[in-house]
Amino acid sequence: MLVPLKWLREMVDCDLTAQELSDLLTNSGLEVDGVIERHSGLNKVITAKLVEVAPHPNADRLRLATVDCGGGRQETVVCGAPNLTVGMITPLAQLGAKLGEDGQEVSKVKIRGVESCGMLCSERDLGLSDDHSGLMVLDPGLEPGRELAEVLELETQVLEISITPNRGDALSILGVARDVAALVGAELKLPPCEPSEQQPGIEGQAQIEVLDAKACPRYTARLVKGIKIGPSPLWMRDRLMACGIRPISNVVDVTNYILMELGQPLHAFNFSEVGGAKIVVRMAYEGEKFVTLDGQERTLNAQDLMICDAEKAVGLAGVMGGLNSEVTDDTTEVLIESAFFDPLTIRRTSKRLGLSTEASYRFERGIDLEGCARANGRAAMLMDQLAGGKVAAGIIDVYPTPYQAPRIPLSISRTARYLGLPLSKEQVVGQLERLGLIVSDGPDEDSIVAEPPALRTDLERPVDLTEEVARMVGFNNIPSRLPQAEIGAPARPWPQRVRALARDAMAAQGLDEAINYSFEHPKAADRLALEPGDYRRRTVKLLNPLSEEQSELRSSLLPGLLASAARNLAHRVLDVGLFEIGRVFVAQEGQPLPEESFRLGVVLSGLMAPASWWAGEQPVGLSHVKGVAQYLAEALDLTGMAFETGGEAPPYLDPAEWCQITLNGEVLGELGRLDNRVAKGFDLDRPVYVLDAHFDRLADLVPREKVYTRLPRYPELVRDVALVVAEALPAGEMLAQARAFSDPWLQSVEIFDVYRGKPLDKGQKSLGLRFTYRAEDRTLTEEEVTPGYQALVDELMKSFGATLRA
Amino acid sequence: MRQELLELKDQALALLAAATDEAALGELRTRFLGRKGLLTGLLRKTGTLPAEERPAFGQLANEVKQELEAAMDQASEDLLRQSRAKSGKPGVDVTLPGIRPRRGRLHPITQTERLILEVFSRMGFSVVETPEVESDWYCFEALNMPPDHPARDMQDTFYLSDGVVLRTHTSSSQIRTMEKEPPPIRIVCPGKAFRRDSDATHTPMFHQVEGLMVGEDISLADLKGVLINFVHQVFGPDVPVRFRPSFFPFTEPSAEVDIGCVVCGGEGCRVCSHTGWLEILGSGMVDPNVFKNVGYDPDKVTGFAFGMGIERIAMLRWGIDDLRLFYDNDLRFLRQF
Repeated sequence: MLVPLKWLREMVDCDLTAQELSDLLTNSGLEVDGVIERHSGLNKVITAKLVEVAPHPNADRLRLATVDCGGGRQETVVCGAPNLTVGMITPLAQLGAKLGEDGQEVSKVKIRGVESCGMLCSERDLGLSDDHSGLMVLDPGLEPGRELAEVLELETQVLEISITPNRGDALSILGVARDVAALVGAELKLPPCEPSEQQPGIEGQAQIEVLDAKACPRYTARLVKGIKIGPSPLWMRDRLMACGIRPISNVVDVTNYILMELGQPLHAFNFSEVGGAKIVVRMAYEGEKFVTLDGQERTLNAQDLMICDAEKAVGLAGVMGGLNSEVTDDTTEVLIESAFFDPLTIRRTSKRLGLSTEASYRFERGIDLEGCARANGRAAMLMDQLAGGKVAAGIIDVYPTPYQAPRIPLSISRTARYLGLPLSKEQVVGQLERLGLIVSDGPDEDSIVAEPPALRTDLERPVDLTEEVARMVGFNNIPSRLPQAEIGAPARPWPQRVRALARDAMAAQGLDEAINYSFEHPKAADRLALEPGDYRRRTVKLLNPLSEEQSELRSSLLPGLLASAARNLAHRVLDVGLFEIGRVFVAQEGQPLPEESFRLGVVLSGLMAPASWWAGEQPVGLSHVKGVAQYLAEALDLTGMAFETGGEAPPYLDPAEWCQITLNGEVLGELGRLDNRVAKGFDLDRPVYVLDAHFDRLADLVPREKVYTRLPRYPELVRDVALVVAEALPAGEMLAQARAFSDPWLQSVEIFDVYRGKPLDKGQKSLGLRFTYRAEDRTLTEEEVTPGYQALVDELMKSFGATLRA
Repeated sequence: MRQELLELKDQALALLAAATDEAALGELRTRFLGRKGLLTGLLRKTGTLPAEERPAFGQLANEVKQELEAAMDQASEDLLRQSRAKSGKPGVDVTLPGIRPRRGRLHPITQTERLILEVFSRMGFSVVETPEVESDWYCFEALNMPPDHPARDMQDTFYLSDGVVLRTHTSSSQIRTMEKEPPPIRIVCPGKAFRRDSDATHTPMFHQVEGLMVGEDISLADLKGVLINFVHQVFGPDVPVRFRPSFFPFTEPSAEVDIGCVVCGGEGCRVCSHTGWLEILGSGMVDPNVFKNVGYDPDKVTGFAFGMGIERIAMLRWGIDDLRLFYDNDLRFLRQF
């Protein structure tokens, strides 16, 4: 909300600067976002008295105006305005003034050969209105040489305040002034609200009927006749503009002025259009059509509240008036509505129609039930003063159930404990009273009973009063302390620990962590070429997505990771190693919530490590992505992870380069090279390797305990062999058979070398195997090991048609 | 002869100290310790000594020999060091980059989340995680935001179906925890949250850490103590902290917590919109209605809750000026942390 400072100061006497007020309000719950400086262009604009007008020697349309600038100083200014009159007081922009939106500086210039020391201004020149018909004519009683902004009482500083939804009472200048008054202990000055009534009574001239007192607990009406529609005075227009409201005409401006000043939304009906001179407040009919002021036809339902005359609807209560009863230039009689509408009713209507107005915004948050009549009186008064209206005597006030303040009990000691602040009863009572609550003694010495004014709809419970006390004390004046509690050092739950370990293990391998949106494009499953029955097609759709590409929840991490890889490639970052551990979502039949599970995804492209002088360039391959899985298994103490190639490859993987990751027979996921067509669909034009695993399942298998193995007491004995086999033989098969060989001393078999090339034939490769032998009770000798070693080598040669490499 | 021996030693050590290369050193070695060297020559004359002096002389001669040998070895090693210091080892270029595996980086959000959780863990808070997709009850209603409450406007919500939403805050974890566990409670709840908002300062997904402490006589002063402690551990012990009354439906009273701008030190700059303050978290005393909703007795327990955006903290920590960078996964960005 925008709060012009002069306006605020009319209602509360305080000499705080804009900055001090900002701090005060911010620290008590009305957050000031900033101070807007207005009319800074008027800095060097002063009042000047025209003392002489002479013709311009070189131009017929221009004249030379000599003005008195006060203090005995005179300047001569070239001017083309038609209304130059000796003796007039008019604004002079002195040299250096910066006028207009672009802040063009007034400088000493020669106009047709004559020097002009400043500029005499129209209202438009000064940004005060669109009037450019002539120089602005100021009060002839003004002395020359005074600051124009000061003389016109323009609003030069405006506080921009964010009002939280609970503080409907602060959505007005008066509301903010009320807080300021309570905080500084100053008096709150309500603006005058008593119109002089010069017309016969309203009773008999107009009639109000409220059919739904729940939706409309109070409705007041005043009648003003003899109005002359015209512009409102400069000060009012300036204030409205300072509040961000466009001035329209005196009558409409008065309603907006009071909306801002008192927070009471008003509506001015063109009385001659009110059929039967009667207002009826009723719920809309189901399907009723109504054209609002903005020219839109709205379809209503039985929860919407309507303002009608004897024949037709004339307004959508609390939201917007109707086109049919609008105040126009020839309106002379106005019926002013100042009512309280049920917040929930207004909110539902405003929400459903997507129509939020200054009025609906305030009704939704609750206005001052007790203030309706006062605001109406002030409106009538201003229409009298500014539009020549004659106010009919009296007010119609349909207010069947007057405000009954809730009686809220409050324990002083409990409040003190709640805030952690020593408090006396006097303090609490004083603070609440300053906020306008009526406080009386409670049943015991420790307690009080407080009754909030109607405008504080947010105060209902003891804790609400506690908040007011805290606000008045200032949160920064409440002590701070560390709580007393039982000590405890709770362990991180297991899944969280495993995820942390896994993330560290992935980063330790040189992979960078990605975080992608949980949203996904509905075509993602197609892009992965998933089968029609694939579980990842059971996606969860958003009812109100921001865009199509974010219209579902992801069922796989891969599309996000692949898109991330593609973005990096587009930036010419070609070596990509990304991983993500995050949740995916799969719809569950008959369940309102989807299944959420953590998955691990990896995408590799380019080089595994940056090209280096020691290792050259290592383009990523299947072994790298497999290594990622194995490293992770090692980091998590997962033994028995296996990689199986049988079966059908998932459609997004290259069937020649993939395998399934299993552990103790349980499928954890898969890894491999991304199918070429799928890669193209993600704008990836180079080889990409991926891994996708069910992280929760994997984490479940991580052993929670470890038992130490005693260190061997006797040394091991190592034997190597190099066997030449057909290229097509998977090394893993030979490894598996070797490991299964029965020899009590054989501890491990590893592949330490793969060699292709001369002197081997094409289609052959040599596998280097390392056998490690050890006995528990003694040092083994070569002779002891040899028979077993020989038998193993023979068996492998026989089984795989291998020969010893020479 | 004893005198002669000692003089020989001093002479050898003096020459040794002056030797500047391996050749000179070899020459000295031959001259004093060689088979025809001076020391050997002197030893040969042992026989000319009276019998009772021979053992003592022999022992001294041995000592001198050992001492000279050690000194020559030392000198030889010193010379080698000196020459390597001058010319280096052929084939070794110490200016080449070292051989090392590439290090990956955890996402800045993960790093910041860990930092935040660590601070609260040290204060005895447990870490709780709950679903990202939530029912209206956990996300709103139990948190004192009934349908049609204006506070629902504060957060634009993604709906999946009637009554099922993407959680707009991790505050839902509060309810899930209190429904299961009796007081006292001390938890922090990290996770993703979602709001239907996308511009320079909002992404539709972001990360939050929610915190909750419930017990007997937990007060606003306790809230302040815990959060000031947190700020001082994350941003430094001298950073000013300000509590400002605000409004959240699930706390009463509610407070926004600002810290003195870490960019300009409170002078006022673009980052703090020239206020000198940066808003970093929301907090408050748990509203009695929330306690009622989870079956706690608000007359017996009180508590405080708080919530902060991890992105916000990360941006302040590292001076990151564009929120969207967090989800681009641009390696040029990720590798900076």
